[in-house]
Amino acid sequence: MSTLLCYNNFLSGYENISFQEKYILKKNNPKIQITITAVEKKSETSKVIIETMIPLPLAILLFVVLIPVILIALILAWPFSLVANGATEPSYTEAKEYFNNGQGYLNNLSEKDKKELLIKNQNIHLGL
Amino acid sequence: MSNVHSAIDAVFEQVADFFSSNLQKEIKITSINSEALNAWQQSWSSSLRIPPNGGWDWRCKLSNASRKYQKRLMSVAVWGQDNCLCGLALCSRSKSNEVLSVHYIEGAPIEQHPLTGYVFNIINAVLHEYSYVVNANKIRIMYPVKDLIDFYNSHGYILSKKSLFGRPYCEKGIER
Repeated sequence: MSTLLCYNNFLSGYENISFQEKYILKKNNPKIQITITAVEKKSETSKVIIETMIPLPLAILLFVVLIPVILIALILAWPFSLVANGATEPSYTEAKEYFNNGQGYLNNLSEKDKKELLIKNQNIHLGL
Repeated sequence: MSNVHSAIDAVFEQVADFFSSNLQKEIKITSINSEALNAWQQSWSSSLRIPPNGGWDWRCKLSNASRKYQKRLMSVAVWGQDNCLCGLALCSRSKSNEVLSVHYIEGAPIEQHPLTGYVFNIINAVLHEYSYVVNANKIRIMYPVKDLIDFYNSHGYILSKKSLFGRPYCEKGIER
C-alpha cells in the first residue's frame, strides 16, 4: 500500500505524461528507445522522467508482462488522485479583507512603481 | 456564468478603483461574460488583425479555455467610458497556484479608445494583484506575439530559453 501511495504522490506532481518509443533496428541487436516526458505542475515545465534503451525481445516481454500490472496499479491509484485536489483560491470576502488591511500589490507599490504603472504606452501593437 | 463573487472579482474591483482614481477615467473590469462577448462581436468586428497577431475568435477561445482550465480560468474584460470594451485577456492559474499564465491578450482594434495605452498596464496589474492573493510566484505570457516581446521585456517579462510543449513564453518572477 505504501508503494502505491508513493507512486500516487509522484504522479500527482506531474500532468500531461507522454510516452514515446523509437525503434533502432540494427542487425542481431534490435533495440527500442523509450522516453517518458511529463509536465511538472509546480514549474509547468516539461521534464524527461525516463529515457532508456532496451533490447527488442526484452521490450516485448515487458510489454506482455508489465503493461497489465501497470494498468491495474493505475486503476488502484486513481481514487487517491481524486483526494489530492489542486490549491484553491480564497473567497471574495477574504480577498476584500486582505485589500482592506492594506495588503496586496497596489496597496504596497512604491511611488516610482506607481508612476510607471500609470504611464501611457505609446503605439503598442494589438491596441495594448 | 456564475454570479457568485470570487477572489478575482475583488481583484477586479481593487484594480479598477486604483486606475479610475489615478487616471480620472471611468474604468470597469469584469470577466468575459455574455455582455463582453456581445460587445466584442459588435465593436471589434472591423478588426484587420489575423491570428496569432490578435484577431482571435474570443467566443471560441473562451469556450475552449473554460473546458481546459475550468475553475482555474481567469477571463478579463476591461471597459472604458460609455461601456466601451477596450481589452480582453484569457489567463489561468496552475493547479498549485504558483504560476499565472496569460494565453491571449488583445486591446480594442480602434485607433483611439478610452483606454488606449493602458490596457496592458491594467491587465498586468490584475495579474500582479491576483498573484498576491493566491500566492503565485510567477506570471507567464504564453506564445508572445513577436512584435510585443520588447514591450513585455520593458515590463519585466523575460523571454524564457525553455518552452512549454514547444511554445515560447515570457516570464516574470513576483517579488514581495
